[in-house]
Amino acid sequence: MKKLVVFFLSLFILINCGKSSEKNSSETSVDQETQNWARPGSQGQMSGAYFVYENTLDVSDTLISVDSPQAMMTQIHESYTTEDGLAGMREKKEIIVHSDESLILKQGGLHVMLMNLKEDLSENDSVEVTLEFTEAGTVKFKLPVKSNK
Amino acid sequence: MKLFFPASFLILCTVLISCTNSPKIIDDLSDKSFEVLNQNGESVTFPDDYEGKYVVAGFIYTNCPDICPLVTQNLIKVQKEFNNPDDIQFLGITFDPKRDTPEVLKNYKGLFNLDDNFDFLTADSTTISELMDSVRVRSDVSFTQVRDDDKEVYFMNHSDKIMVLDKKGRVIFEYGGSMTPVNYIVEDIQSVRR
Ligand SMILES: [Cu+2]
Repeated sequence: MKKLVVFFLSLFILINCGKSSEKNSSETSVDQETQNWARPGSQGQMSGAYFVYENTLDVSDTLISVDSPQAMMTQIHESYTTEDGLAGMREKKEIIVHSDESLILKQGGLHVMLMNLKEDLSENDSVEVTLEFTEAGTVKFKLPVKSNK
Repeated sequence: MKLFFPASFLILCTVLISCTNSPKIIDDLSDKSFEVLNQNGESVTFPDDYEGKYVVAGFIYTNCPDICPLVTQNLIKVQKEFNNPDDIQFLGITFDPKRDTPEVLKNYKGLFNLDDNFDFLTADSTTISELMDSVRVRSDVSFTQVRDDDKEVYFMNHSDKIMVLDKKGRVIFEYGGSMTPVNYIVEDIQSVRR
């Protein structure tokens, strides 16, 4: 009888132990990640902006430049992990978007890098971004400034 | 069958031991003191001034608009999960003291709508590099960019890290700062918090 008690006790503890170390990831939903938005920022500082652009043409397209009147300099950047495991970002000069595919800029991946903001960006403001594609030509986005994303 | 009792007893012991929560000490900062400044320009001794509280600290620089805000947001989410507790201090520590002055950090804090238990810390370059060394946070200038207005701006490659200190200033948990699901951090703190 004793044996049985110890056995079931062990079993019970094992199950509970497993439970507490089980990790449920609470990743943000795709919908949240793919919203069009820009981060608040102070004048002279940086901000990042995000959007989704769908290539509805029946040919591949290439994003060749990005600009915003609200920053001294604007680029497309990519966050990546370096060979020795550090977090970094680098400029992406050209990005190919295949037909019927979407170009997705989201946190931790691609972002519009707004450098040296000409004025403060606060909630309820918006950021104008002009994209230049080889096929689609000029595409404009107006991205709402949102904090606490 | 005679072996059954000792065997299950042994299993029980092993399970019990692995179930108890005495986390490994990753880095002991209790004998260290760094003279730093918070976003209000007030001097703070790290980690001494936070002894008696758990500390959840992330490493950032404010000219980083993509990865670093994810680190800050993770800290904020942990704070919310715990309902803004008094016994847990949240810190964003810069590894770019040259640009991240208290004033810049104050502006940065203002972007996130945070309370008193959330501080951003900077210091002179020497102190910051000693602090970063002691918690094994690396950072290098990755590239510089000459802006349209002819000013130079630099970016950094850096460790992506959040760490948790116990009430005695010892690092007991560390995580990838931007990508770790918040509930990992929350569960770990819950497992030791008393
Ligand atoms: Cu960038």
